[in-house]
Amino acid sequence: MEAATANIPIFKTQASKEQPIEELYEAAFPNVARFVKKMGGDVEDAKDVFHDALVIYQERCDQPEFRLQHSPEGYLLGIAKHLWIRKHHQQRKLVPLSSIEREISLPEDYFPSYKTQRLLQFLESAGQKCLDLLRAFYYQKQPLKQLVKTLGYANEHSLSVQKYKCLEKVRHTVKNQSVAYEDFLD
Amino acid sequence: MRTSWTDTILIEKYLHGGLDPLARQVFKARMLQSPRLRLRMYFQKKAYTLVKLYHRKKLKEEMEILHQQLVSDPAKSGFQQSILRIFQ
Repeated sequence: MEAATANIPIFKTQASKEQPIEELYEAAFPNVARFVKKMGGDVEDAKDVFHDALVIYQERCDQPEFRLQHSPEGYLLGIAKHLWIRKHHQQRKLVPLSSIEREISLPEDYFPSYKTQRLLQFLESAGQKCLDLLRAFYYQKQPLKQLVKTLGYANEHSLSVQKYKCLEKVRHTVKNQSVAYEDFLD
Repeated sequence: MRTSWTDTILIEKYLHGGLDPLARQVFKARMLQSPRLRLRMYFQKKAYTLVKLYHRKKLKEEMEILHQQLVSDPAKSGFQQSILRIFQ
């Protein structure tokens, strides 16, 4: 790989363009913390569930068809409640949900199996730079010209070549590891 | 250009809606005839899934850094106090 991928600004998503993430964090975390406390959790539980909710919220905001029906803080609390139900195997009726919150769903692929997580760990150890490049390309929503500059490539063509090389590398690794991590291939 | 390389680009365009209708039909016909191409597409989809999982993991690491900044910055004492009060 010809360039380092460090120093990519964090939270470069559609959501963060509309409201700085620090601001949203300060406004929304206390609500989630109060809910988690009520359910018997501690501050670490609150942080964990809130960070997952923020990830899901950002993904939703990046979908062109997504229309926010709540305030961002209310939506984050709704996601956090669903995550709590899922993570703690609690019945929905034990967690009060408003009618709008009941319409929130979690991404089906949000809870990867243990073997999938192991496969990701393997990929990280075998080619983190490629994962960083692919992440920047697919998820960090920078214009191509800016990405070329950020990642230190000579031009868009060389970045594009490296991206496909990385994609092939990940694909080959997944294929070669498919026997060891067979449940990922369902 | 290598076949594998061309296929990688075509698979990406096929999966991300970047092929015009004719090219899409041609690609689908090739897939029907080529188990190797189908397998490449299968593993490429898995590769995208892993990149997504990696992205989520890194986002959570970045959020942890932000959390630590918020709970240690003297300028954010109001936020820190509100969280402390909740878990007292």
